[in-house]
Amino acid sequence: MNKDKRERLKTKILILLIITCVIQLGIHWNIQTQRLPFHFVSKIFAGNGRSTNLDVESIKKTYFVPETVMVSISSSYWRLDERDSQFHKIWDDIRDNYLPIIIRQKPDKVLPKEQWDAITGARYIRIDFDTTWPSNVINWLIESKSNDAGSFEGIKSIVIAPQLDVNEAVNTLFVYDGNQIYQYQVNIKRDYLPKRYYSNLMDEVSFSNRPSFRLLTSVSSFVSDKDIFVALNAGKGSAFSRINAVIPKEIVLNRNNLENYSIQENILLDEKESLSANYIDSSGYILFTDTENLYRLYNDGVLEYKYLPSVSSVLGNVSAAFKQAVTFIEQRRHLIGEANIYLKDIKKENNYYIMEFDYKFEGIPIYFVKDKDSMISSPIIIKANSDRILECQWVIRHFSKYDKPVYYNINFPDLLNNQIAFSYPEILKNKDNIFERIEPGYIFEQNSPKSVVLVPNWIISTNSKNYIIPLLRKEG
Amino acid sequence: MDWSKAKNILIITFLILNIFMLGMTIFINSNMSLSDDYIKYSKNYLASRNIEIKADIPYIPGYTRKVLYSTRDFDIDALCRTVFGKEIILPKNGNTNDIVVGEEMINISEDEIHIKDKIPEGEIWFSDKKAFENGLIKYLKNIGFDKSELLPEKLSESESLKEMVFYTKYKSFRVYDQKITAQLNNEGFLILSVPNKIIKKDNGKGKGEVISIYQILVMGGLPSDIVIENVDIGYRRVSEGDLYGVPVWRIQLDDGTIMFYNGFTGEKLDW
Repeated sequence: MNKDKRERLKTKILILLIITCVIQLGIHWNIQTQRLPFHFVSKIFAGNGRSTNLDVESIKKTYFVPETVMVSISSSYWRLDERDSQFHKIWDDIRDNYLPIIIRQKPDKVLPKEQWDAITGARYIRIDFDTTWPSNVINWLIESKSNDAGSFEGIKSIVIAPQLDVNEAVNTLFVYDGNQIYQYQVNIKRDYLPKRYYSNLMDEVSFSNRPSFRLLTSVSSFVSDKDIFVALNAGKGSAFSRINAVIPKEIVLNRNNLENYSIQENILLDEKESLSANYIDSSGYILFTDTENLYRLYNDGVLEYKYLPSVSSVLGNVSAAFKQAVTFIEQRRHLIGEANIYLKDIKKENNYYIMEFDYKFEGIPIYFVKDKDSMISSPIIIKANSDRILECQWVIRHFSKYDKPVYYNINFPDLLNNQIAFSYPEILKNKDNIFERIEPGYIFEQNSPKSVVLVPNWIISTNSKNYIIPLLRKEG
Repeated sequence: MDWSKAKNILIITFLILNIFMLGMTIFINSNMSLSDDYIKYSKNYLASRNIEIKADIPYIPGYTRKVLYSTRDFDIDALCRTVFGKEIILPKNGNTNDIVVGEEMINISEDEIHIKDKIPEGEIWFSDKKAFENGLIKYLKNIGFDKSELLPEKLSESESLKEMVFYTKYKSFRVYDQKITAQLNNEGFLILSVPNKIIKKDNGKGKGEVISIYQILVMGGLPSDIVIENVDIGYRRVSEGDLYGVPVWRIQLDDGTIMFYNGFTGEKLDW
């Protein structure tokens, strides 16, 4: 009986000691506040995972995507876009197999850019990028072990010309960096796409019911500095969905989103508690700041970021700066919904790089204008050096599919004769026009309503004006 | 398994662990608290500048958080019933910031609500201080301010006007920029301004260290030859429109001057 009592007493003491131990742990975790350590434990699991778990390495390749892959026979072209399986098959092969080799090896020939037309005058596959990707960014993107950033400065276009070498185990590639053309002979290894895949693709695509394209300057008197492709035989047309573009509900500027920390969690991420916030309802923006950082979110969904200290450091490596920009975007990427973000331009300034990013929806560009009279600009503009983001201006929208895709007529002669001639004859009359783009796409304005349905349009940009002309449904 | 032996081992282990952690807590606290030497030095320094402290220095925990200012949810119908004695049908898309009925009115701005109300018991309130205080507290309750969140600040009176000031409070601390001012004139009109904001919670989990009042007194640039009548700590926003408030020290001098100092940075607040 006595032993029983003693054991019970020991059990009680043990429980008491465990409880006091837990309380003391709590005190240590949270000095001055006597509480249990669950607060600390919950902190470990409470992270939203956006910034702490972000693995830029795994998503960086999603930014390195061509604008188009064109299959060419003589002067006819067939466009593969991101919705085509061949697009991804070809791009994966080039990015993962060919680029790591050609970035290391010396080119077999270096040709002047004037020979571009001669090279691209036969059967080939052409990969075009929106911008010239700097070679050391490519080095980082394709995880090349080599420190050599390649012979070329960057990549604007790649041409695969399988017919140039009769050897089935060798493929010929041309890389154009905007200044020169670099020719490479690459030995095809077992895990590469076979050479006949490229050879057969031209016949396969040309016999399909796809629209065929020509260079704008070869079929009209329009002037352009760029290679603009227009459809002459539109086939079954091209399918587009209508898309919803809204200011993400999490960051709509109102008291409720501020008081439940929705804006702070989605914009400031880990800094949500450390920055002070200033909001006056009538001001139209919320300001978050500390001694180094300033975030301003406007009620039209525009986010501005500025690093406040003056920057004296050198601009550093472009791939590190690109990584900074991608990290900043990816931490907030969930806000944009189903759209993709891609690099439109990258420029070097004195002590930073300016990077412009655009939206795309299922491979179709979503253009942005400040207002209806402005020229097209990028919704995301980031200034960064290798150490950090210095400035950012981001027009944030959440994009989602509104309805099922339907076929639209993308035939250029129909556009010219049925729409431009009647509605915008000045396009034809003005001989000073230099065309920057004629292509189907979506467009939205900064001051458009909080929620808007975007429809596919012809986006025609000259050096002085944009023309937005509705795409017409394909009949039948 | 011998449970009895196992318990003995566990008891000894937890006892050692508890003693160790207790020792650590005492050691950390003694390091963190402001040393007596500094307090002595401060008092000597203040005395040398002829700064007299007549106030009690309040105890405050060393670390605290910022607080989040939310918009107070007023029941407009209850407000109208209290002020006008009836509910008012407001235009759906019109301006509901100004509601005027005869001589009475409600004006709702971003930070405050202003009320002008003819009180039926106005004469009694005007003649009896206690009736004014009790009546006002009941009136404030009717428009959404519970007695438990009010801290009376001052009551002043003249021949034609009585004025009563309250601060709202958060966790027993005054919120200095959330002031209720009630003026009653001898005609029985109550002019009331009440804050439109409320502190419902702390801002997140990160804590900041509150600077000791002695450091503020020494470093805060106080003028010489003054008498400090009152020192207390509460919350306030640093600038107009701030979403978060910070702990602030309030120093009141015998000539009525009031100064605020940011409890986290020691900076003197102008606003």
